[in-house]
Amino acid sequence: MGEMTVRKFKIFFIVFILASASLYAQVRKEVEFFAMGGLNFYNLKFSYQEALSLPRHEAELAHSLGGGVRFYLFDKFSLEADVLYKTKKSELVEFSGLNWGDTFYTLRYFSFPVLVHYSFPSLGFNFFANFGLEINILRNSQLEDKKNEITKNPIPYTSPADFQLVGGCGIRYKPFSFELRYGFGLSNLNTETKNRLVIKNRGFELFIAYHF
Amino acid sequence: MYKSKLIIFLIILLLFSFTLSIPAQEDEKLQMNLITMVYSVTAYEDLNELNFLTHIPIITEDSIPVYLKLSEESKFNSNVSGFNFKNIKGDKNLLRFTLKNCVKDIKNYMAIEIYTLKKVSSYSDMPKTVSFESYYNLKEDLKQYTQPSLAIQSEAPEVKKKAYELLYESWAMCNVVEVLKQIMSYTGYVIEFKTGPGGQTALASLNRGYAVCTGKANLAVALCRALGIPARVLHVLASHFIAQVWLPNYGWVRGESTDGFFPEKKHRWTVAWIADLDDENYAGQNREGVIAYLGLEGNVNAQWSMEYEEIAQPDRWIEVFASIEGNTSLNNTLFEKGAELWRLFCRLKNSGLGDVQLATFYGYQQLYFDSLVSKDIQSAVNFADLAIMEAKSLLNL
Repeated sequence: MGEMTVRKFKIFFIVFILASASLYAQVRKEVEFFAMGGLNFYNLKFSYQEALSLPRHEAELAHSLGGGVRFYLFDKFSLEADVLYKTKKSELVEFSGLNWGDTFYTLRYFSFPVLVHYSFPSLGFNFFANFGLEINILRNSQLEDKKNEITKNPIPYTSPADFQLVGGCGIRYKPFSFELRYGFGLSNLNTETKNRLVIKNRGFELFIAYHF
Repeated sequence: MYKSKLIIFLIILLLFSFTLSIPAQEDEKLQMNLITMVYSVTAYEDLNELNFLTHIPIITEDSIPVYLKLSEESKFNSNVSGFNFKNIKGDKNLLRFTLKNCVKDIKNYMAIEIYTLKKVSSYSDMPKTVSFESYYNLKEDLKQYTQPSLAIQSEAPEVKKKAYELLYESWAMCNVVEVLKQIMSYTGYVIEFKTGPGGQTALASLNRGYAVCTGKANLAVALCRALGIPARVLHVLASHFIAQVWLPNYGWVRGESTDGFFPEKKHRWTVAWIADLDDENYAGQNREGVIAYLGLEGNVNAQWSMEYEEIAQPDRWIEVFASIEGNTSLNNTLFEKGAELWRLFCRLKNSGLGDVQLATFYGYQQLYFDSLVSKDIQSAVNFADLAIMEAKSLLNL
């Protein structure tokens, strides 16, 4: 996917969500906007067709920031669309049986999750669960080996897009909501197909949102 | 009617698929190559005699030298009185030309035809994936090829850093084969092919960003060693340097560090020298990283050069002289006998015996060579046997 196409796609997606949200709000008056931010622990999982000792990464703390809109479709169901700037970070801790360390992989994305949201009030709180698909468009990638003072930006052969299944649960309390979400990467981040190495993103995200 | 046609069709299909399933047996093919090496020497004063040393092929697992012959072209070898060998260590010998009556400022050309017998094979059975763990418990004889030397400074911080950078070049860094491709690609395409001051050691080539094949091979080997992969430099004919890397449970594999690919075809080059640590230290100290021993012997007031234009004509350079197919077992016998014959020939050349004493041996050797040229393998084996017997008798073995 070319850089220009990605940029056009991002602009189109943002405009589409905002336009449809405001249109929907005028018609049904059942739309809610919110700002959100949070922390995430994403990791890279490697697999190979042949038996080979693979690099082991550990998730590092990173952040997400953005906002979203919720369309209330039925009593308990709503549709949520977010726009996030997300950083995912992991550390290469083991390579070929050796302790490696101090080598960090950072992937920065514009993320567009679209989720089905189900609310079920209980015990005085508004509990909810959601599930959906997330499109991540790579903004920037960087590898930093602090021990050997090596920086690679961008990381070669990194997929420009990552599709993920996302699901989570949380609580709503007055204008605030707190949510734990799990992301299950579907795309292979390695674009160098001839080497048959498959890398996928996996991780948890913790969000706090303020609803307007 | 239809049933019988169908049966015939199925039988044909079965036979056809059977022929397709037969693997290509490359080892059944032998190929004889001719390389004509051309050098020149210019004396700066009248000299009665001088000696010039150069590399000749060595025996490898897939190549054996079979014959050496002075070129009969009139412009070459007019001052050459003959050639002999100088043993350096083990099976490694240099060829020594002796030139007589060199006149001041006149260029004297030397040319030798080198014939080698090679197994036509590729690295098709090479493993596609190799892990770094498989290098952790190396045998002693391989460990030396992970050590730094004066020409191959694999422990230098700049080299280590570049090796890690190349490691990170692919997500498949866990696969040594992919990393080796990155290394050869780097020396082949990123390091510019250019001559210049500063020598051809691995470190000089890396810091300067350009080198010739010598520096590129040294650098490729240094980068491999920095990652714990055993690697060494091969001097191949005609006057080229490439890298060779060891893969566990497989063996040594050649990489083209100048053209930037890995693996290299097995039979593309004729190996003249496999550098060990002593050679590398000698090259780092005395020869600005050039791991070779060719040059004038002793202190003489003269200068030599390689006549690349004479060598590099494709029809003369690496010429397929004869291609031998057929009986695998006979070919293997020929290869074994040929190797033994060459070892004995080198010993005879170093023994100090004169041409008169060696006449019978030379006769059998000539018949062995003539049989090879005419692709008569059985006769070549028979004459090799006779030459071996004669050599053993001369050497009292």
